[in-house]
Amino acid sequence: MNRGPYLFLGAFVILAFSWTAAILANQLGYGAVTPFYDDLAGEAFPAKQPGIVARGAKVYTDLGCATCHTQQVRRADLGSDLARGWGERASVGRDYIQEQHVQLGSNHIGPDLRNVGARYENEDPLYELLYSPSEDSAKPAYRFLFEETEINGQVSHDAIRVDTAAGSQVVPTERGRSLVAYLAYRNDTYAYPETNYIPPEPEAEDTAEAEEEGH
Amino acid sequence: MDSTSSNTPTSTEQPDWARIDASVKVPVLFFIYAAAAWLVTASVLGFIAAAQLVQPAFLADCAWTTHGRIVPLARNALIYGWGFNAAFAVMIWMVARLCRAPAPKWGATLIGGLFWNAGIKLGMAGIVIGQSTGLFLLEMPAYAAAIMFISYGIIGAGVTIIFSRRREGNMFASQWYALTAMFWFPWLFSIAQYTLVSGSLRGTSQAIAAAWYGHNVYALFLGPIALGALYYLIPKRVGRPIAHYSLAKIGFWSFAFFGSLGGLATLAGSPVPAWVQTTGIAANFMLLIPVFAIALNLGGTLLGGSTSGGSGPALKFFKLSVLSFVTVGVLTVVLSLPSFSHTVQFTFVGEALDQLHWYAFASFAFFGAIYFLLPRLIVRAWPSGALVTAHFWASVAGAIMVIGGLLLAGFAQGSALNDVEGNPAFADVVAASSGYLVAQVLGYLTLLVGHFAFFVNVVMAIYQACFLKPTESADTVFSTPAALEVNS
Repeated sequence: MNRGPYLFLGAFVILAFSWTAAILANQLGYGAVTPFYDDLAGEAFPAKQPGIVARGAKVYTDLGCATCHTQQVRRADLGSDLARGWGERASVGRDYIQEQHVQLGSNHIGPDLRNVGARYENEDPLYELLYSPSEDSAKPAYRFLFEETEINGQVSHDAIRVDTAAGSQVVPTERGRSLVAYLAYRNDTYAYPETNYIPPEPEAEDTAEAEEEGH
Repeated sequence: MDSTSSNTPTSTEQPDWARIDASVKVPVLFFIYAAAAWLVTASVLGFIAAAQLVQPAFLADCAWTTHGRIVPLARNALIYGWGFNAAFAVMIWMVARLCRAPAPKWGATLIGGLFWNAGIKLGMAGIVIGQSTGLFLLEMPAYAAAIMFISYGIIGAGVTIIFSRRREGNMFASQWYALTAMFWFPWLFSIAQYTLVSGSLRGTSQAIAAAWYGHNVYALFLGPIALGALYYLIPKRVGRPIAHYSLAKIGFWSFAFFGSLGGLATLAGSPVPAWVQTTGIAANFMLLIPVFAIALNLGGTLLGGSTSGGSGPALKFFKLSVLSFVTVGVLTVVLSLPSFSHTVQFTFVGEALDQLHWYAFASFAFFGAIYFLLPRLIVRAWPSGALVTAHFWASVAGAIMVIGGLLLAGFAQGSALNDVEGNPAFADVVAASSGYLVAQVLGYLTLLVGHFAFFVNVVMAIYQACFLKPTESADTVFSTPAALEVNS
């Protein structure tokens, strides 16, 4: 290997191959994935995100929430995500096609948030988690997403239910509201044709062991 | 290939090393200074991030210093600040030496370097104020990336000019690594920026592209430059040619090919096509071929006999770097086996493997290279032997605490996560790993001490080079390498 041109040609081929396999092939493959139109429901899934959710995605992204939280539910044979109630089914590629900022994450420092919106009936608990998380949580309070203001006449209908000094209220900022709207929208419960995956049966001896352990 | 002349970086005919070194002195010294300063910055940020995992409320009241922003800041300072500046220094000096050609007399490389560093500062400021793109190692906003891309072009052009002037037709392994890496990075960077930051990728193909790019910053830039430095300097330092040199070519091409796809393995179990995950895991398995070929080359050279000129910090760092290279190659494969990946996926183990790649392998190779090359550039020994010793031991101890702490924390975290009945609440999972994360905090403190010692030594050396007369003649510099590494 004494000549420069061969070296550069080889280097070019390797990167071109790697790029074609990893990026181009997938971009083409994903181009064929479309929202699934449900005849019975009369609408397509996943639906296009409302504006406030798209803004919330930017807040989620710039605060680096994905440093500690994943947004992907693994199959039952790959991890305890389903057992922990992080979703009703494993995530599939189609769940994400309407998102500009896909934040899969890579560490479970905190719980998975892919279906966090399905875990609460309304947005109040999400505000409370952001404002004053429980003491044994690894999550700090994100007070900068809220403003503490004097109550002037009526309590703001946006004020969250937390303990404050008399005469003051805690109101989420625009960024706080967007983030919570985004979190509340995390709810992949719709079953696509490809989500009806049944994990392979564990081998016989594994089952016997599991039964002994009382699983 | 004529094996007697090609498996050693220097032939018998000695060119005018002093002139070649002098031609690259100013930009290389600048890059070393910038690298050392960023290393201290990265250690401070790494310490804050590690402390926040133990004490979540630490610096959490302000959006600018939340954990989610400190972590990418620390990572960018370590990779683009320390890693790239150190790689530029090693690459420019090594290419000039190996091509036996002096650098052109132009200030552009230095200007490119100044803008590269300004681009990182701007990009990190962008992350702080909330303009992060949220993509692994591409967090910096597009305007900063544009500045970095253009600066890289200027720095790369300088290296290309040196290469075009080469007097030695026969290319040594170090040149393959350094030159291809120089060519790969701008391509990678521009593809990733264009496709990801411009938002043209759909759904989880964004995650695939980010994983591909993030890993290739190591596999196609920092890793190859570090390997190039090891192939060049280990034979020089031990006074023996590279052992089993015929394997070097296999090692080089297979490292590039399989390494460039290894990043896809981080998506195992993610909502991406199954073949993507399988390709990544298979690539990491196949990566054992180059890992062992390169280990035979470098390890064989290190262990091939007694070392002339005694031990010194450069050689110590090289040995640990080679050891880490083999360790991380094997560990990546072992941990991707289903029985382990079931536990360690989405835990601190991923971060531990990154730090093994970036710090224990690549950075140790750069430390060794800088300990070797800086005295030759300034024709003067390192100012303080005590600071060299402090840096070496603090780096080793810090790396063990950080990486070991992360590995143990990751296993504890993963086991607790999988044991749903034993740890029904997520707080139980957090509690399981928190003890080991204290080791990471102490590790970053230790690293900070070591990196500060390194920084002070670099600043003192550059000061002496600027304001004091050389103590040695150029001849002495090349006859007794070990004597130059530590001022005894």
